[in-house]
Amino acid sequence: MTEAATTFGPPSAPVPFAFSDASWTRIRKLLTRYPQQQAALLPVLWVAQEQVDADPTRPRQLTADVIKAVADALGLAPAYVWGVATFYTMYFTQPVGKHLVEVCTSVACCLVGGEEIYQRLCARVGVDPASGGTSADGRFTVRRAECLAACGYAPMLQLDNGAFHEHLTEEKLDALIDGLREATA
Amino acid sequence: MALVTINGQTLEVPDGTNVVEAAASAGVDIPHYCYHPGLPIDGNCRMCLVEVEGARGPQIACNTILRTTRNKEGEEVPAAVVKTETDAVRQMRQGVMEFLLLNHPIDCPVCDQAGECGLQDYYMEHGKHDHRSVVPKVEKLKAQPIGPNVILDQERCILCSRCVRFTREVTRTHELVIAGRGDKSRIEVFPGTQLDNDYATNVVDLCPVGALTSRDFRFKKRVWFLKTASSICTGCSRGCNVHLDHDGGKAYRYRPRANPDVNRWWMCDRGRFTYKAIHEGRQREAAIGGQQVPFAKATQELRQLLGTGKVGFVVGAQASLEDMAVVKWLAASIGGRAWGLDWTEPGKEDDFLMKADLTPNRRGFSMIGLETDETSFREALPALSALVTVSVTLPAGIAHARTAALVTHAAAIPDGAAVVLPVAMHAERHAAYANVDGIVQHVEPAFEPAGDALPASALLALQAAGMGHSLPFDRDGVWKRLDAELGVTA
Amino acid sequence: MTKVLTAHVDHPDSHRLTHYRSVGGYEAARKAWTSMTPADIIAEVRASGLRGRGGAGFPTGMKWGFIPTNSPKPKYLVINADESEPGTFKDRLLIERNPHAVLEGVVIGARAIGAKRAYIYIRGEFATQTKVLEEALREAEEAGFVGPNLFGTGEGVEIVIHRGAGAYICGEETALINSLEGRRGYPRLKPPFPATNGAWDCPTCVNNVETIATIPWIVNHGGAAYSQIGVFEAGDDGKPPKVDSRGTRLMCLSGHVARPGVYEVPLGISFRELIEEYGGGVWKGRKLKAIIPGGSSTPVITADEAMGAVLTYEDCARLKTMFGSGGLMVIDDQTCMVSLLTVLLRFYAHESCGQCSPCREGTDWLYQILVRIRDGKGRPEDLQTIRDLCTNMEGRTVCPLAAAATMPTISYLTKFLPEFEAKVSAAQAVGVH
Repeated sequence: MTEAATTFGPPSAPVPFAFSDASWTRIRKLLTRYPQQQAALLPVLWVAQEQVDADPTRPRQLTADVIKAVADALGLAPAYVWGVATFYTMYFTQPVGKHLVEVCTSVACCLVGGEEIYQRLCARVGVDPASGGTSADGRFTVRRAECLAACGYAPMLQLDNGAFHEHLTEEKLDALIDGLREATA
Repeated sequence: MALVTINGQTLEVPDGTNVVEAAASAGVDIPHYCYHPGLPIDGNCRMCLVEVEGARGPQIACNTILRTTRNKEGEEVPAAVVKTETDAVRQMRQGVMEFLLLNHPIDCPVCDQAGECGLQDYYMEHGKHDHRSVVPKVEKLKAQPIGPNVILDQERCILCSRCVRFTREVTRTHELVIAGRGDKSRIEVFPGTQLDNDYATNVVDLCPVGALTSRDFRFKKRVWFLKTASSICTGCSRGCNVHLDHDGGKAYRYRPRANPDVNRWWMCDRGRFTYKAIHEGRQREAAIGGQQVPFAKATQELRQLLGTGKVGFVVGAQASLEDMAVVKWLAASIGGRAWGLDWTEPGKEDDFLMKADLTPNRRGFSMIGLETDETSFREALPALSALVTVSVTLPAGIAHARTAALVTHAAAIPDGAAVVLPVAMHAERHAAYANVDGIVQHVEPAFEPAGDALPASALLALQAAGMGHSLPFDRDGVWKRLDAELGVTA
Repeated sequence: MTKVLTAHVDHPDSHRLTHYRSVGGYEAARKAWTSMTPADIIAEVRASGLRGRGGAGFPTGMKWGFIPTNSPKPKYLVINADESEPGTFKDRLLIERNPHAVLEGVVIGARAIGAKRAYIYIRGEFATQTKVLEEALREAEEAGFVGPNLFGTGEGVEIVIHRGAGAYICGEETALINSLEGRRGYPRLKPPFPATNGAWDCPTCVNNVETIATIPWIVNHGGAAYSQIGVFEAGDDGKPPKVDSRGTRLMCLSGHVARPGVYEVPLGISFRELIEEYGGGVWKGRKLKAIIPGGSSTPVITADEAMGAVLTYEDCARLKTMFGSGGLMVIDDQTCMVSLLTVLLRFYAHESCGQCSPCREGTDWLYQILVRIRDGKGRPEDLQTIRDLCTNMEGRTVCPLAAAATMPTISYLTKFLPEFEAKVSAAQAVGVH
C-alpha cells in the first residue's frame, strides 16, 4: 500500500529539473513510436527517473519540477502526469534512499520464507516492518513487493528497480546488505 | 427509436439512450453517483446495477445503451428487459452502499453537504445496513482549499470522478486528478496550481457528497431551510438557468439548472456569484432631490414629470421584457420617445457560456421594438421635457435636469436626479428575458422586493392609469398584448 | 515428447538470433508472409486449437478472427508481457531464453490481423528481461525479420517494446491498453471491446507471450500437428467439444515442491505426474495438502482433488477452479491456510486499481479481516462477513480483479473451514472482542 498523503503532490527540488540533451534524444525517438504523444508518458517518466537517478546532486524522487518537465515535454497538465505516476509503484513518487530493496512477500515467496527475509532485512537496516520505509542513514528504502515472477526461484528481492536476487537465504541477504553498505560507505 | 422494458413497462426512447435515462423517463429512479448526463460514462460507482434479461450477471444501467433491436422476423423488440426493483437489485445497492461508506467519515453533523448528500439520501432509501467494520478508516486530507471557490475533503470523497471528468472533458483545464491507487486513491491538485478556471464551482454541484464544497456557501445555511425558485442568471446575455436557493427573503446561492438549449448543466463562476447583487447596494426607498420620501410622494412627482409633454425614456438591458414593453407603450400613450440603450462595460467572453455582454436582455430592445440608436437619443436629449431612466446607468456626459430614475441599485442613480424610485430585481418578481440567442426565459419570484420596490412595469403602468391611460400591469396582461402586437409569446 | 516452446532454451545462446536461425527460426514468418494469406494463417491457428495462455483460455484463432478486416482504422497487435499473476513466471523464461520466438510470433500475428505496428507491453520490473528483448529486437531488425519490408513483400510490421511501471492490473487487457496510451491503468467498461475499439480506439488484439510464441511452431508444422498434442474430444451433434485442451503448456511449479521451475508439458498429463515426476514431489518429504492450480486467483484444490485430476481446462472446471496462467503452487501439510489466504489477499488489496467501489473498498476490507483472524483476534461474525463481502464484490465490478480475490477466498473458506473456525474460536476463548 502506498503511504497516506499528507499534502498535495510532491515537493520541489532546490534546483529545477531540466532534461539533458541525451534525454531529449531519447524522448524524440520515443515520440515516433506512438500515434499520440500522451502514449509516451510512461517511457518519458522512465527517462526522467533514470536521469534523476544518475545525478547524485538530486533527491532520489520525482519532485514537482520533474513532473512539470515531463508534462511540458508532452504537452500534458502536470496534475495529469502526477495522477499517472502515482498509479504505478516503480516511479519514485515518494523519496527513496540510496538503495531501494523490495522483497517479494507474495504467495509463492511466502511459502518458502519470503516473509522471514523481509523481516530480517527490516531488522538489519532498521526499518519498521509494518510499513517499510527508509533507514535512518538514508541508505536503504525497504518495501514489500508483490509477485515479481520469480516464484520458482524464491525467496527473492529486487534491487533498485533492476536486478533480481533469487534463491535468497539469510546468509545471502546479509552478504548483499553488507556489500551495499561498503559500497556506499 | 429503441424499445426498452423496465419493470414490465415497455417504452420507446431515442437510440443511444442509456437505461438510467430511459428509466427516469418512465418515472423509475435508478440510483447512481458517477453517472452524469453531461459527462462521459465512467461506470465506477456500481450503484446503478440492475438485472437485464439474458445478460451475464448484473449490469450497470449507465453503460447499458439502448439501440433499435429487431428479432429474426424483423419486428422491433425491446433492446433490453430491465428489472430495477427486485430483491437481488436491492441487495446489490445495499452492498455498494456499504462499500462506499466503509471509508467515509460519516461526519454529517459538521458536513455542509448534509441534507443534499447522495450518501445520506441513498442510505435511507437503499442502505440501512449496520456498520460492521472495525477496521480503522483510511486517513486523508481534510478541508483543503483547492482554489478560490472550492474546498476539498478527501475523506468524504467516493471517487466517482465527476469533478475530474469535468475538468478533463468540459473545461479541458485538467486541474483535478486522482492520485494514488486502491483505497488510497484521492483527488488532488498539483502543487503550484489550483482549481481556478471560470467554471470551477460546477464541481461543487457535481459532487454527490460533501467532498467538494463552495467556499462562498459553506456554513451559511443548512440546506433544509432553503427554498428554491426557478430563475436565470442575469450576469450576462447567456441567461444560464439557475435554481435560486433562498430563505427569509435572502438569496444564498445560484445552482445551474439544466437547459439543453442554453447552458446544459453548467454556469460560470462570474455569473454564479452575481446572486450577491440581489442584496448588495440596493435602492430600497424612494427619494426626491436626494432626500428619502414616502413612495406615494415620489410617484406623484414622477407623474408630474410624465405630464410635461416631450418625455424621453431610456430603458437598460437589465430590465425585463415586461419593463421594456410597458415603457414603449407608455411613451406612445403620452407622446414621448423610448430608447433601449445600455452602457454596461463588456466583460470576458469565451467559446463556452460566458458572453462579453454583461446584461441579460439586450435582445429585448429589438424584440420589443425600442429605438436603439444612441446618436438619435443624444440629439433628442436637450429638447426633452423630462427623462425617465429604467434600470440603466447613464454614462458620464449624459444628463437631464429633470430626470426620474427607476433603479434597482443606488449606484445607478444619475447625479441630480429629481425623483428616484426603487424597482424590483428578477428574484423578486415574475419577469422574462431574451438571451443572446433570442430565447425568451421566464423567472419566478423567490421573495418580496427589497424595501418599497415594485416591478418597473407595474410601477409605470400604475402611473399611466393615474394619467388616464390603460396599460397592462400584470404578467398575463403584458404578454397578451405583446402576443397581439408583436407576436412575441411567452 | 514434443517441445513447442522450450526445445532449445538450455542452449547458452538460445536468446541470440544466430542460434535461433540455426534451429529454423524465422522460417515460419517467411512462410506466413510469402505463401500464406491472413485468412490462411488464422485458419491454421483455429485448427491448432490453441487457447490463450494468459489465463482466460480463449481460442486464439477466434480472437484473431474478431479483428474487422474492413475497418479503415489502423490495427494493433499488443503482446501482454505484464506477467504478474502470483505463481507465474513462464513468460519471463520465454523472454529471457527464447525472445525470437516471441518476436517471430508477433511478425506472423501482425500479418494475420493486418497490424502495421505491434506493441509488447512488458512489466516494469522486468528491467533485465526488457534489455534481452530489446537486444533480440535489434538483431531481428538488422537482419530484416522485423521492419517495414519483410521478405521482399514491401510490407511489414514495426515492433515497439513498451515498459510498464508496476501495476498488476495492467495484465487485464483494457487496463493494459489504457496504460499503453499513457493513462492510469484502469480497466475499461465493456462494451466496447478491444477487437473493435482498443488502443487509440482502433481494432486491437491482445495476446499473451506464451500464446504468441507458439504461433511459429503452428505455422511451421501446421495446426493439425499442434492439435495432435494434448487432449481433444469432440462434442455430440455439432455441440462444443467435451474436452478441448490441445497443445503444450508451460507449467510453473513453485511453493513446497522439490524442483520448482518451468516445465513444458503436453496438456492432459496428470497433476500427480507434473508434481511428482517433473517437480520431484513435495519438498522435505512432506505430504501434499493442496495446490493452487493456475495462479493465486484460481480457487485452491485439495490434495485429493489434485491427485485425481489431469491438466485440462475441463478437469479444472470440474473441480470448480481454473487452469489460469499455469502458475501451480504446491502447498505442504504444515501450511496454515489462514496465513496463506491473508498473504494472498494482501496482494489484491495492494493491486486493486481503486476505480470501482466494490473492489477498491472490498479487497482491503477482506485483507484486514483476515489479518485479524490470523492474529488471533477474529470475531465470530467475521467468517459470514467475508462471505457477504465476496458476494457483494464478485461480478459487480468493472473487471475481474475483485473476482480474482473472492473466488480463491471462498475456496479456502469452503475447503479448509475448520482452520478458520479454530482461529476464531481460539480468539473467543481468550476473550478477544
